[in-house]
Amino acid sequence: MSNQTDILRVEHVTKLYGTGEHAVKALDSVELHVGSGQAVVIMGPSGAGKTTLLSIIGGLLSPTSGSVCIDGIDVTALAEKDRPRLRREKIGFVFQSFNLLEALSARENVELVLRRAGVRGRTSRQRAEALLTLLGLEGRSRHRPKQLSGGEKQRVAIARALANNPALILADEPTASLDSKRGSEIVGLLRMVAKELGKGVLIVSHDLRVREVADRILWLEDGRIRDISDEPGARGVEEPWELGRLSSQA
Amino acid sequence: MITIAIKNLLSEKVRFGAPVMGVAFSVFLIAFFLSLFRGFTNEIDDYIESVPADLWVVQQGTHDFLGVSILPETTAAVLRGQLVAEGGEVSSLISRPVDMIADGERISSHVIGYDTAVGLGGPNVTRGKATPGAGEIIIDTVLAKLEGLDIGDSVTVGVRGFQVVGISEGGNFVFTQLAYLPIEEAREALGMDGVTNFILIRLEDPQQAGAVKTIIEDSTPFVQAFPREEFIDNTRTELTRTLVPLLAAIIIVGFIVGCGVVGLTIYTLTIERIREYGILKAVGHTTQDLFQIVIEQSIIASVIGFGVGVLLVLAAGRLQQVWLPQFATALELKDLAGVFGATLVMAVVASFVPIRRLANLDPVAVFNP
Repeated sequence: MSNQTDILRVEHVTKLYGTGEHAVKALDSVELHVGSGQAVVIMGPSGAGKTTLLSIIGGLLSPTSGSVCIDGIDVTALAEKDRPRLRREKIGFVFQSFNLLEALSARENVELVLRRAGVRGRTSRQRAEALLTLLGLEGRSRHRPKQLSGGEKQRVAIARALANNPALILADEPTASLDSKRGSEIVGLLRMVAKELGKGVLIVSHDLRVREVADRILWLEDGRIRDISDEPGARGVEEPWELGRLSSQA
Repeated sequence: MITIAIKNLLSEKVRFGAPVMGVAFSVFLIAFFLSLFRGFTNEIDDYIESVPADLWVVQQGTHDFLGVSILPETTAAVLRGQLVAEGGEVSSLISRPVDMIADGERISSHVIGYDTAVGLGGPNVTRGKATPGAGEIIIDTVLAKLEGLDIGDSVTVGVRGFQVVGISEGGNFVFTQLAYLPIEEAREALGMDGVTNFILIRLEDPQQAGAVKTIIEDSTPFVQAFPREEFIDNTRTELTRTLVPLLAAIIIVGFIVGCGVVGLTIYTLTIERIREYGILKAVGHTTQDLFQIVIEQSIIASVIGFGVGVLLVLAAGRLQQVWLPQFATALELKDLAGVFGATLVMAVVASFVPIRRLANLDPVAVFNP
């Protein structure tokens, strides 16, 4: 169910790879919505179409049909040349492998998106430092990625995602490269981003711990998505494949 | 964007050194040969420009100082008869490449036999006697350095022995150097009785050069007369015509080497960081932003390479003065500006292949671990 405060609305999104007999349906009429201050988790087996869905939502890939609206803007209707601006202003990305620029310090990685948005000099530095401090990285701003732990790198990535104050955070397996403790910290931070900063957060993950922050849990398999938040056991099972079983029973 | 370009380059200093040294080598190659070319033409210009003749009279068909010109001495006598009375000066000049002998060794030189009474075409002496007398010779300072000769040494020119009595400057033709004799001594030594190579005319009123030229050419068979500037230009053009194709080949090779080295290293740097370019694209940078980073990297490396190249040229110029004094170099600002322009073109051309690679970059790949 969607409403007017939705940050993200995905409607009937279908994605086919290839044509004719060889066409593969990666997404089949997917619908989802994420409201302001909401954290939504998408889980599902490998090859279910999760990355394809994130890429379409992020404006990096075009769907075969359907539409994606972010903060009132129809991403699918945007020309290719206008999509970078949408990604800069409306979306923050958090990736599994952090994806920081190795040659830049933590602060410079955060400033990267600020500067591209026209924020310069002291303002840019101060905002980057403030975000790093918010995420517990005070005193680490001059460190290069190779001098940071995995958890710290992911914090920098979250700071970068928040730099331009986007409406939506897309997180792709944000805990997959981290140990249990660091993974939990990142889950907590994503919850803070949603609940305290009021961002819409969409997380794709295999990690059951992320259910802790989820307002809703969606299961994506064979290109189809289903809301399993209210299924009995959805928040209690201890193996990801068991979520899939809940989904098929429903 | 320039921060990313600089940080990317500096993050691997050895890798950064490759395009810088590639460009430096190219700049060195281009600028050093240009400076040699300038130095070479300047040196030859130096002598001709130092001769205060208003007209150079030559055998018909010769247009410059490097050409072969043989005139009967009677022509000079006729011109002398026509012009001296009107306040002009007429002087014969023998100009001949000759192997001198010093201590049994053959020495390549270019003998100038000039009329010591008139002085036209004579040496610019820096040490020793200003004018050679009978049995005396003045040699260029570069020849003296190259062959270890000095005042008081003996040399043989043709069939005559001479003692070095002076050292001059401004007579270095790179491949040979000037040695000055009184014209009568030169004739005797070289067996050039009754002939001369050039006739130099200095007029009381230099403005009359054009009119006198016409009179000479109309009245004297098989001769041509050139006003001073035209003769200098002809000589410079002849030199340029001979050397420019060689110089152009060197410049093209230097340019290709520079483009190749910068292109390869920037391409490698781009491919190694292709994921980071994908990240930039994913977080909202445009394809043009990525192009800008690549071009900036290339330009930064090229401009630093240009600076290193210029320093190498200056250093090579110093070493060359010590080891190869006959090779004069002259680094002119307009040449440096041209080489800098070529360096920038090199940087942009070298960015072409990496940019094509980035144009097809799919940022979706950044979702893969």
